[in-house]
Amino acid sequence: MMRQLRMLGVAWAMLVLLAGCATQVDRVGEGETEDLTGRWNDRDSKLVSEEMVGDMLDRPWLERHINNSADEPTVIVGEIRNLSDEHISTNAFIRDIERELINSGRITFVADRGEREAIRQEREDQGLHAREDTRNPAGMELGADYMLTGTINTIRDVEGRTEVAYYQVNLALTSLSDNTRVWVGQKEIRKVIRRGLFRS
Amino acid sequence: MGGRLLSVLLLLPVLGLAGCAVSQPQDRIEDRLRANDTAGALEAAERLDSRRNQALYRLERGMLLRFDGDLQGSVDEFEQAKTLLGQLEPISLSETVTDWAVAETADTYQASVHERLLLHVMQMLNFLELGDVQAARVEALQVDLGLRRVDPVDGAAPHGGDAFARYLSGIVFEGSGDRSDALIAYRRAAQRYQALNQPVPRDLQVSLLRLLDALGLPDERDRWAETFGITSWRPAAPDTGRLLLIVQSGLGPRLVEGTVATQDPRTGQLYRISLPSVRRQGDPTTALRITADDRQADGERVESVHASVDRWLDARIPLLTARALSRNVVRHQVSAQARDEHAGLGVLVNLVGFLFEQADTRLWRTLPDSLWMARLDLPAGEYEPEFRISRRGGRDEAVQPGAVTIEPGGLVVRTVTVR
Repeated sequence: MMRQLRMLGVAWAMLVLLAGCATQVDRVGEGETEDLTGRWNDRDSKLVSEEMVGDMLDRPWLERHINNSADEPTVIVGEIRNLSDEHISTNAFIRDIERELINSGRITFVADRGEREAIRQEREDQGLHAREDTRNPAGMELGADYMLTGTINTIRDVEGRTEVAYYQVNLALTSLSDNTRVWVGQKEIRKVIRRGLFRS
Repeated sequence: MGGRLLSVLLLLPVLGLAGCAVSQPQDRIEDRLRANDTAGALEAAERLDSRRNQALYRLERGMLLRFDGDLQGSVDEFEQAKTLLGQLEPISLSETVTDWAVAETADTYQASVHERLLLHVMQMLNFLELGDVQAARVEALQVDLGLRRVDPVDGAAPHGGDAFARYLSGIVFEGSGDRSDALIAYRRAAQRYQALNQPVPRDLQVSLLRLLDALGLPDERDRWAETFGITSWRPAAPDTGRLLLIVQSGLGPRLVEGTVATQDPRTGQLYRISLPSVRRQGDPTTALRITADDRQADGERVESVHASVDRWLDARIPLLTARALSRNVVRHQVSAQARDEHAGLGVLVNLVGFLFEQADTRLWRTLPDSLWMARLDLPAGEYEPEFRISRRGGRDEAVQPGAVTIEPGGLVVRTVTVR
C-alpha cells in the first residue's frame, strides 16, 4: 500500500513538472503594453507619434498656413535618424506618424521619395497599357509645403542591476519654400528597468 | 573486493565515453569548415540546438551564415544570441549548485565578455557590409554600454577583445559623421592596445592624430605623436571615402580537456579532475595589402582572439579547480553512503560521478584565430581593388572583390576569410 502511494506521489510530481513545460500563448489587446525587456517597443512608437502629431497640429503654424494660402498644408515625412543604442525600426515609427497625420484630416500627406518612384513607374505603365479614359497623366503631382524630420536618442544610466533608459524623440517641421522651422517638438520616455539577481 | 574489481572493469569504457558528448558537433563544424563546406557546417550546427546551448547555437549559426555570405541571416541570428545572453545574465541558483556538486557541463552556455564584444564586432561588420552605417553605429554604442557595465570606471574588458571593438567603433562613428565620439573611441582603443601589450595599429595611430588635429586638440595630438614616434601625417581630404578590408584569419582556438584520475587502493573509489586548456589552431596570414589604381595600403593584425581566450581561461582556472575538488568531495560522501547500503550501489554511484566529471570545453569556435585589417583612403569614384594576402609558408593569394563605389566620406567594407 505504502509502495503504491509512493509511486502515485512520484507520478503526480512528474505531471506537475511537465505541465510547466507546455507552450502558452496569450493574446493581448493592441492597447495593452507588454514591456518585456524595457527596450523601445510598438507601444512607445504609437504613444510618441500620437502625442507629437497632436502637439504639432495644435500649434499656430497650421492656422497661419491656412490663412496665408487658403488651403491645408501638404506634408512629407523625411528622414528620422536612429541615434539611440538600440536597433529601432524607424520605418515603423514613420508609419505611425503618417497614420496620425493622415487621420487628423487637417493636412494633406504626400508619399515619400521611394514610394513616388514606384507610383511614377505605375503611371508610365498606365500610359502604355491602360485605357485612355482611365490613365493618370504625369506632371500632376502635389508638391509638399513642409518636411518632417527627426531623431531618436537614448541616454542610459546603470547602477548595479537597475538601469534608467531615457528616450528622447525630436521632430522638426521645416518649410520647403524657405527652410524656416515652423514647429519643433520633443517627447521623452523614461523607463526604469530592474533586473533580477536570480533566474530559474 | 568484488566492488573494486567491478569498478576497474568499468573504468575503461567509462573513460572512453567521457568527454566526447559536448564537443562532437563543434568538431564536425570545424571539419566541414576546413573542407570549405559551409552548408555541411550549418547542418552540423543543428546538433547544437538545445536549450542548454541555445546561445552558442545562435552564435555559431550567425558566424556560419556570415561565412556563407547571408549577412541578413547572420544579423538575425546574432540578434537572437544577444537576447538570449541578456536573459542569462541573472544567476541561476540550481546551475550554481550543480556546478559545485554535480557537473561542470550541466549548466547553460554563457558567453564570456570577449565573446560578447566579438559578437558586436561581427554584427558591426555585417551592417557595414550591408551598407547600413546607422545600424553599425547602434552596435558601436552597445559596445560602449556593455563595457561600461563591466567596468564602470575605465570601460575596459577584463581579458581583452575591447581594443579592436573600440577601434572599429571609431571607424563607424567617423563614417556616420560623429567625430567627437570617434575620437573617444580611437583614444580608448589606443590605450587598450597599450594596456594589453599589443602594438597599436599604424592606421589607428594616424586616425587618432588626424582627428585630434581636426578637433583642435594640439597638446594631446603632440603627446600621442611622440608616443607613436610619428612626425608627419596627411590630413584626411574632404572628398575621399574609405575602403576597409577585414581578413578573418584561421580557425579560432578550442578548449581541450586534460584529466587526472586516481583510485583509492583501499576502497576502490575513483577520483577525477578534468580541466580545460586552450589549443591554438594558428594564424595563416602574415601580411596584407590593398591596391586600387596607383594607391595601396598595408594592413596588420588588429585582434588576436586566441590571446583573449588564453587570458580568460587563465583567470578561470582557480575557480574551475576549486569546483572540481568540491565535486570529488561530494561524490566521495555520496558513494560512501551508497556503499554502506550495498557494495554494488556504491560502485555504480562512484562510476556515474566519475563519468559526469568533465571539463566544460564549450567555446564560440567559428570565430577566427585573428582579425587583420587594412584601410585605404580613396577619392570618390569607381574602383576595381585587389587584395593581396600573404600566407604562412610563402604563398600569396590575390582576391578581386569586384567593383566598389567610393563616395565622399563613405565607408565600403569587404571581408575575406583565410583558413
